[in-house]
Amino acid sequence: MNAVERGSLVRVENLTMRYTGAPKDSAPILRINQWEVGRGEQVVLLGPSGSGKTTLLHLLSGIRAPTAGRIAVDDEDISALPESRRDLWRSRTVGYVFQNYYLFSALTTLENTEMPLMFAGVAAAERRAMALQILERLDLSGKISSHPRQLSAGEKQRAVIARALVNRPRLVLADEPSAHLDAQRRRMLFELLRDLVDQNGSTLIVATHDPELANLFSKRAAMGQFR
Amino acid sequence: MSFIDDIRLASKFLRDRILSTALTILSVASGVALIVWLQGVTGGVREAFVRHATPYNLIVGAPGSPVQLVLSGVFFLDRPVGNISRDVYEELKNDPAVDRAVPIAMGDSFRGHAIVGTTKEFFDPLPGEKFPLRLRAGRLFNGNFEAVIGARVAAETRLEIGAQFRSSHGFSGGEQHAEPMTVVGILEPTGGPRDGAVYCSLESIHEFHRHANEYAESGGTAAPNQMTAVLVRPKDLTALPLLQRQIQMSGRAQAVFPTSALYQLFDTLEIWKRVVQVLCWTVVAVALTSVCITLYSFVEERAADIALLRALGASRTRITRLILIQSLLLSLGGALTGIALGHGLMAVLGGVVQSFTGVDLSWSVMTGWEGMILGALGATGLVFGAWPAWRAYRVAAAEYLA
Repeated sequence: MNAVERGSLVRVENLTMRYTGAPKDSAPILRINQWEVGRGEQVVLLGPSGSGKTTLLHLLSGIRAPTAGRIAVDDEDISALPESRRDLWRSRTVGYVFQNYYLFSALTTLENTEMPLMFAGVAAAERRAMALQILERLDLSGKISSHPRQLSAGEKQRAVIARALVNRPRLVLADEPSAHLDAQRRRMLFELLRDLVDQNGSTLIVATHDPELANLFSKRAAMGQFR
Repeated sequence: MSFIDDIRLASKFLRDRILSTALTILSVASGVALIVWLQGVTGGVREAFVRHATPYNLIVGAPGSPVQLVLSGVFFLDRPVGNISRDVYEELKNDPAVDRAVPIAMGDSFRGHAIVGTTKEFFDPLPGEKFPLRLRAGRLFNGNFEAVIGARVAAETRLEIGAQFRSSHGFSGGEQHAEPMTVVGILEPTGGPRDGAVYCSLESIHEFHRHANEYAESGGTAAPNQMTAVLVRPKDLTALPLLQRQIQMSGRAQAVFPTSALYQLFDTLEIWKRVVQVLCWTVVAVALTSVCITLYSFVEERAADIALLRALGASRTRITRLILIQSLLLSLGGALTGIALGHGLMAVLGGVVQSFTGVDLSWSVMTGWEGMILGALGATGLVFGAWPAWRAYRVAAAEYLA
């Protein structure tokens, strides 16, 4: 089944992105006339460092707003939403796996995992149950009370994935999610992430500069085409 | 619910930086402790001194400083102003407006405790008296050189019934009298200055000084026709102003309302209290600046954490709230710790004050102040947290999330 048959989850139209304060006639970081990602699809964004992969993921998650153009996720025009509503939308719709671990040192694994649910307004008991469930799936049940400094690199990355998937997001964005791991662990992590996203029925967009990892995905988008 | 979540989250962020959090709280606490201590000392001492002033409404003594007369005649803290003639006492005793007139003669001491010559009437409780004198052991004095000691004297000197001791001339360890005194009674504690004195008959005092001509020069009561002061209770309180005026007009003595003299003393000290108070609030203001600096450093050092919060769905308003809650927790934490420290200081100081004056300080007068300090610190904590909160509000998430 292709993207058209499943329907688009992400639709980007006439998007232009320039740095804040850059002149209007300067070259944009990104220019996308039209780009779609279907529901349940897993897409890899392939490009070298500085090619705009992270910026595109920020735009798709609503962390940044485009200079011009439209980004719709599940038919919601997020580029038109006011910032406060975009924040709430993000906590309920998007799961984000960052390149760096970005776990709060002050919080335990369980508390870190609960965070998106807290901002989405989920009640404490429910969010605890949801967080425990995803941590169990990621084999982190024994680490729920551990702080990030007590976790190995692999455990940290799994905790980040747990946090990204805990709210059963429709869209999962991953920015070089295995950058700190060796080749074998990187591959295992990618497969784990893909399996979990697949089980959730979520759409996955992964940014990487590693062609070997990109080969795991059937749909690839080279960042060069977005200039 | 989100507010409770935010309080939990803010306190976890503070706990993560436990050293800077503890130091900030401590700096606020030290200023608050000073304020609480100062207020407690001045308020508590004033309240306690007035409470224990005396069950008598008037004290009559030699012309001079009214405050000195009260401090010496009621609290046994200062040297007597001088002596008055026994005639003054006799006239007061026979005055139809007077319910009771009790003479006291002072000038000797035992290990820093005043020896007070008086009559047995001194020990009779007055109607409505809050802290009446009661014997814990023994009896009142009958003959010369028999002594009844206050509870604090008994505790400090460990004198028992039947024990003998020698008193000294003056108030600071002068020459000892040849005649020993015998303890015949020990009083129950009253929590007031009367616990810290040794009581004997007027005749004992006069007997001590039969041959001590030099003693008269030190302000002590030397001759049988002299005494230090007379404590007066009128039959009717409305007669009190007239009674006081008559004594003042006589020129032979002054008549002082003990509580008025104490208020006069405390009013004189009020200006110094204000000065110290301003200094204390300045210390608190400086400490609150450290709250601002601590939180600003947090925002600068943990900008990536703030960006991550934003990426996970926290709005700018919520980030601002998290920082303001941290500011509130730091300032209120400092206030509560300071109040506890202040009370600790007062407990220590209460013991010191009581050991010097015999006055049992009650700190219940602090309740209103504590609430005010918490309110003031909470409000100013929010003000001092506003700048770092604004800085956090403006953190651009994308800049920190690679």
